[in-house]
This record gives sequence, C-alpha cells and structure tokens, in this order.
Amino acid sequence: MNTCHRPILLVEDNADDIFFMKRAFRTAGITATLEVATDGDEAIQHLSAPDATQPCLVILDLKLPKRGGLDVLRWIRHESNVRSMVVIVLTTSKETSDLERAYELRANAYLVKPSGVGQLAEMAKAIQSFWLTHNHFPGE
Amino acid sequence: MSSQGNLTERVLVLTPSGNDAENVVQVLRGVGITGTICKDLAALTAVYPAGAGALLIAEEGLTRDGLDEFCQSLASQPKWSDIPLLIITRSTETEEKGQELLRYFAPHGNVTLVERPLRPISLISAVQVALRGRRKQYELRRFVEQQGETLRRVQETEQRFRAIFNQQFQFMAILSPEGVVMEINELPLSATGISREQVLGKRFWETPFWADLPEMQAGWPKRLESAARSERPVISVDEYRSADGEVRLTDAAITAVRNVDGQLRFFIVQASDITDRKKAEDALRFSEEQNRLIMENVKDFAIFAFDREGRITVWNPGAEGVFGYSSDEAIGQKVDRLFTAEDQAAKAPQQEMEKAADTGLAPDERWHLRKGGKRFFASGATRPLLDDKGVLHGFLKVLRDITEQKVAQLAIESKTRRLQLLADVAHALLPAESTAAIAREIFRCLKVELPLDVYFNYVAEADECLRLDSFEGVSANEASEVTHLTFGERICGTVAEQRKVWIVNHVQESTEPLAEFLRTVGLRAYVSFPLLVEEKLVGTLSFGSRSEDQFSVEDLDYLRTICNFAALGQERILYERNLEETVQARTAELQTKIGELEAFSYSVSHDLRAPLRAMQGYAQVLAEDYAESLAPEAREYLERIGSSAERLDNLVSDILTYGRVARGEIVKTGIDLERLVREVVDGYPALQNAKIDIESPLHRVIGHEGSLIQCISNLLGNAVKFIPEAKTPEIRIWSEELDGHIRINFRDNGIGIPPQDQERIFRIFEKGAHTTSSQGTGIGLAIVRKAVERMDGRIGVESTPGEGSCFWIELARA
Repeated sequence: MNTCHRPILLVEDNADDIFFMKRAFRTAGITATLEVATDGDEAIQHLSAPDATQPCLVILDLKLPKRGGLDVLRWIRHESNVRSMVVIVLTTSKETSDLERAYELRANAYLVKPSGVGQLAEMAKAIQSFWLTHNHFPGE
Repeated sequence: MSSQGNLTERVLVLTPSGNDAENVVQVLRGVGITGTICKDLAALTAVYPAGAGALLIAEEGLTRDGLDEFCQSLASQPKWSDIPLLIITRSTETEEKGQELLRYFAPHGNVTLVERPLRPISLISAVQVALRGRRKQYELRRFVEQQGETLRRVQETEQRFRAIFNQQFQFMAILSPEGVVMEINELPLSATGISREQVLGKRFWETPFWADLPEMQAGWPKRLESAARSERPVISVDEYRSADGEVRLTDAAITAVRNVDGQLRFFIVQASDITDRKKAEDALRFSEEQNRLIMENVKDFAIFAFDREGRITVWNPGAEGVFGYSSDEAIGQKVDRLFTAEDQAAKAPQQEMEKAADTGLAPDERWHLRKGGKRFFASGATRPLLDDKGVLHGFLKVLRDITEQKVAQLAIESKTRRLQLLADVAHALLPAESTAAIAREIFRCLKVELPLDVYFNYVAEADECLRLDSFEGVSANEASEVTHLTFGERICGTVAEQRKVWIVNHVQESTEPLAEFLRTVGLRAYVSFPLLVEEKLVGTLSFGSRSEDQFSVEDLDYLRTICNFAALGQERILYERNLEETVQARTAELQTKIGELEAFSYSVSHDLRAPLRAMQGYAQVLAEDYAESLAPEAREYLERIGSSAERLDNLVSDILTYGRVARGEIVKTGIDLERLVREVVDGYPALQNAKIDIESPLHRVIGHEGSLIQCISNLLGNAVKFIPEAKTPEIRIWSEELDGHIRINFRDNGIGIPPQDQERIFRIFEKGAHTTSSQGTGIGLAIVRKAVERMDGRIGVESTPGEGSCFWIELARA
C-alpha cells in the first residue's frame, strides 16, 4: 500500500524532535526510510543528489540553522529537478506570516508541531494515511 | 490872383462920346492893354472897387452928378493904393483949368493930365507909366500883406508861448545874462504866493523865493555861471518854500540861450516840483531796497524767479545757500534741474507752474536736489508773476530746506514702523518652522525699511563650521562659493570666531582683502552679525546694500536688535530640531531594541518551548514505553515532570500572547459582540461544563476582533477556573449602554476577589492571594487589560469574595 518506495527527508535541527518524529513514524507503521538533514544547506545538498535517490516527501522545519526552511522551500520551487516535490512544513510557529508565506511558496501542507507525544503519533498516522497511502507522487 | 492880375492891368475908360472911347480902347488893345468902358461916373464908381490898374477919364465925363461918390470912393482906397487917374483934357489950353483939375483930384489920386487931341503914343506911354506904378503898388501891397501875415504868426506864437509859459506845470523863468528875472510863469508864483512884481526886474537869487534859504541865494550866481559856460542845461535839485511854508524840492534845469554869434542872450530856468515824486521814488527805492535786503539777507529761504519756460531769472543768496548753485550758475538754467529725477519724470516742475498759473499758488513739499546731487527736503510755494495787465511773465518760488524736520519726522515714522516691524518679526519668529523661514521673513520685513539687497544666514555646525542656511540677493552660482565656511574663514567665519560685528563700508573702494567677494557681487555696504544666545553661537546673519555706501548708526542698532531676535528664533528651531532628531534617534533605537526584544522573546519562546516539549515527550515516552519496568512512584514523578513542563509552556505562551496584544497591529472595526461571545463559548472546551447565560441581544462594539476574542476567552476562562470545587460555574453575560459606551459584563459565581487585590490583579505577573501556581500564570488579566486599552476601552471589576466577581469591559459603540 505504500505509494512511495523512496525515502522521506526530514529537515530538522532539533535532535529531540528528530527522536520524537522517528518514534512517531515507527508508531504509525511508516516503513519508508527517514533521512535527516539538520540544516538548510544540508537539505539542499541532499536534494541536489541524482534522481534515483531523491526523497518522495520532504518534511520541513522553518527555523533552521544556516538556511531557513522558507529559503529551502523557495529553492525547491525554483530548482527544475525538484520543483514538484511534495513539501510538508512542520513547525512550532503559529505566525500567520509564516503560514501565508509557506503556502505562497506552494507548500503542500502546513502542520503545527503537536505538543504531546500522543498527538505527534496521531499526526504521523495521518501522514501515513494521506500522503503515503492515498497520495500519488509525481514521477512514480 | 490871375483875375486880380488881370484886373490890375485893366484900364477903366470913362468917355462920354462913343467914338473917342472906342478909339482909346482900340489904341490900348494895340499894345496889349485891356480897356473897359464905363458910360458914366456911377458905372465907374460901381466897377472900380473890384480892382483896376488905372482910370482913364475924359474931362467931359466928370459931371457934377456922381462926382462926390466917385471922390469918396477914391478916398476910401486902402493905404497902399494910389490909383492912377488919367484925365483927358483940353484944359492945358488954359493953365488955370489944368491947375484946377489937379487941385481937385490930387487929394484923391495920382493924377496925370493927358492932353487933347489925343496922340496914341502919348496915351500909350501915359497908361503904361500909370500901370507900372500901379503894379508896384500891388507888389508893395502884397509884400506888406505878407509881412503882416508873418507878424500875425509871430504874435500868435507869442500868445501861444505865453499861454504855454503861464500854463506850464513846470516853473519857468527867463533871466537876463545878469540874472535879472525877465519873465516868470504863473506856477511858481501861485505855488509860493509871491506876486510877479516882487520878482520881475530883480536878480533871481534876490527874489523872495529864497528869502530864508541862504544856501540857495549863495548858489544861484555860480550855477548861472556854470550854465553860461555849458552847452547843455545845468541840472540841480533846489529847495523852495511853498505858500504854506513847507520847504519843497524842485529839480531845476538852467539853459543858456545864445544868439548866432554865441553871445549869451538869456537863461531859461525850468523846474518841477519833485517833492511828491521824490517821496514816491524814495518810497519805491525804500521798498526796492527793502526787497533787495530781504532777497539778499534771507539766507534760510531760497527765493528765485523763473520765466514761463522755467528758465531762472532771479536767484537770491538764500537760493545759493539752499541749492549750492551760485547766482551765475543758476540764472538762465532750467528749474527742472532742482527737482529729483523721479519728479522730473513725473513732470512735477511743469505741474507746479501750471498750478501756480491756474490757482495763484502751488504749494510744494518735496525732495529737491542740491548742486552735486544731494537730496534735501524743501517746503515752499510757487506764485505766478503777472504784469499790470495780468499777463503771466514767470513765477516766483520761495522754499526752505526742512530736511532736518523732515528727517526727524521720517525718523519718528521710521521708528514707529520699525517698532511695528520688530513686533511683526517677533511674532513671525514663534510659528516659523525653519531657520531659513526666520531669515527670509526678517529680510522681507527689513527690506521695506532699510536699503538692503542681500542677506546671508549661516548656521553654526559641529567642528567650528558654518553652513549657508539661506540667502537672498545673489545667484545660487555666486553663493556656491561660500556655502561652507570654517571659523576664521572670510568675513562671516571671522565674525563667528570672534563673535563680533563686522561692518564694511564703501565696499567698492575698500582695500579689505576679505571684501573681495562682496565687491564681485556688487555690494556697497555690508554688515555681518554673530547670532548669539547667551554664550552660544547660533550662526551669523549678514546684510548687504547695493544702493548705500554705509549703514547709519540707527540702522545698525536696529539690525543688531533684529539679529538678537533672529538668534533667539533660530536657536529655538535648532534646539527643537535637535530635540526632534534626538527623539527620532531614540525612537528608532527603541524600536530596534523592541524588535530585538521581540526577536529575542520569539526565540526565547521557541528555544524554551522546544526543550519543554522534549521534556514532556521523553516523560511520556518513558511512561509509555517503559511502563512495566517503572515503579508506581517513578510514574508519578514522570507525571509531575510533565505537568511542570506544561505550566512552564503555558507561561511562555501567555508571555508571547501579552507581547502580541501589547505591540501587535490593531485595526478597529464594528464587531457583532454576540456572535463573537457565542463562538468563544462554543469553541472553548473548558466552558462546556459551565452554565452560561447570554442576555441577547448584545450591543455591537468597535474593537479589534482578535484582541476581543483574547479578552472574552481569558475572562470566561478565569470564571470557570477560579471556583470552589463543588460548584458548577455559572456565568451571566450582558451588555448595556453607558454615556455612549458599551459595557459588557461577565458575572461569575467564583471565589471572588478581595478589594485589596482588585487593582493588582490586572498587572502582569500579579495574581490573587489565593491563586495557586497551577491555576494561573498571572498574565491573563494583564493581557485583557492591555488589549482593552489598545482598543481605547476600559476594564474593571466588582467583586465580593466568596460570592463571585463581575468583570466589565467598556468599548465604543458601533
């Protein structure tokens, strides 16, 4: 049922959040490989790799060292190879400006990080259900 | 005369016998003599008085009858006439008879006897002799008649002369060479009351005319002597005593009259009484002298006359003094040159003349020109000069230099205007918004009063520099040379450095090297003032004139005063500008700091919450994943870790909210309060167990929706939070209108707030005395108050501890 056979890229600098995300993905039964980039530059470097190893989905934090999440998103939308990449923004920011700008840059979803472990697991399940079960990715 | 001539040649023939008579006539005709025949004595007597050359009478014609008349006629001949009487007779035959005829007729005429028988030659010769004699008589008669005419004329002349002599309005006398009075006319006699007899035949100086005038008595002989020697009349002024005893004056002319040989015949003395004329002359001379003295000695008044073309004809010393032109320079010149160029252009000289001619007087108060072009103010008048017949010949103008008065008057006016101007300037300084506005306004006002063409206003800046803040009267290009000066540079820089006024008079002739710039921009006088307020140099303000070579002391004093005003005004503006700049800088600084703080608080919240959530997460993970291996105590601790973390998260969250409410952008609109309250009530999970009574309808208000939601949710949250455990929260919400505002009330049945806390609870981090840390962060009400204030509303509370509280919010009515 997994529509994506390629890895998922998590762009997140916080080690705790990486830990909780990995646990939540596990709890949700997501089998796809979770690759991690811990700053914006690393994310871009990762996405510049050959097509075969491209992730099917990017989960992108906004507050990142070196290059912010919105800059990464802008880069993705201007880079021909990856411009149709599905990008889910996952952030603690509830700022309207962040949300609007993310959608302006054609983020596919804007999710606010839940505060509890349980809610995070629920969110991971929703991602599994929507994005990884029903959704079709470009290039599949 | 020709007929008379003929008559004198006519011979009247009386012969009774026709033949003889005709013979006689015929004979006479033969020699060219006309004979006229009379038939008897009566006829002869009748014809004869018409004139005849001779009578030829035949003896027999002498009849008794008519002889007496004839003889009488002969006797009545004029004296000169002795008509020839030729009698033809035979009496020569007897001597006696002839003698008788001669005796008879001799008394009556020049008788010639012609004898008969008549011989023509005898007749002719006798008639010719008679006619010749007769002709002589006639000639003599004519001569005598002519002499008579001459004499008559002489007599007439004599009469006329005497009449004139006597009727003369002059005194006249004729003196012999010895001085004896020969003739004297009436006038001196009637004037003196002396009779002719007292005078005639006496030496002139011994006459009673000079009875008590010894000088006159003594003088006359000499004067006659000198007249005798002179070809011309000798003139003198004499005194005489009139009939009423007054000594009067005459002017006398003594003329010596000589005959053809040059011998002195007599003296004519003519004299006129000149007492009255002399008096009139003296009066006139006095008057003229008086006028001359006035003209010459009136130094303060210019008195001058000019003809109808305006050419000067009279110029008194006063005019010389007032106008500076000598009489020689002025006379013949046009009066126009005494007028200023403006007045000349306005035709003032002509108008003055016209007015004087029309109305008889043209008053004149104006500026005039002295020689050399200096102006002075004169007051005077022009009058027309008319002759006896009223014909205009020119004008007389009198004027006086009243420059001093005028200047004093102008000075007073000027002082008044200047005071007014000072007040205006002072008034204008207050609202002025820039240093340049002040300088411009001052210059605009000053230009009206003072001969100013240029100003430069420098403002002192840091590092002893001057910046040209504003200027007028020179081009931007010219000014570009002097836009920035350091202290000590050029005149203004020196004025700023030394804080002293610098005056440059006669700029164009000045050798001052620093005045070079002033010369190039055409200034003639220049003054630069330091603008000082107490000890502080604000800048410099300088003024230049292109029309005057120097400023007067008054002008400088005035400018100094104005500059003091300018200094105060500009100092105020610079101070305000500084203040404003400082405020702006501080504000910008504060805003930066606020921005930094916001960024800081944002990152603090992010950075604080991330580890918090991690703590909660790990506690949960630990509780879930290792539940079995944990002791019950350990699980309780994990829960405590979790709830502590949650409280801290709430605290951070509230601080962030407060910050957002306090600083976020607020746009107020009309709000449907009821809808908003219901949304909050429906959407807030904690309120679901409460009994909430909304008294519809709620008023519409003006506010910011986000902020208002924050307020309502916080107030309702508190209402359900602070309640005794056993109680079910009951909340009543209603709105009312108070003084144009809408008050929204939230009454609860909670624990209530003691009076001493009712003010405190609205402050940040302040909580009610009985509030536990788990119940609140101490920020919620501070957020509400801040939000209400930012919506220009009010908040308050009425509470009874143990019974409940009623919070209210007042907002503007929509």
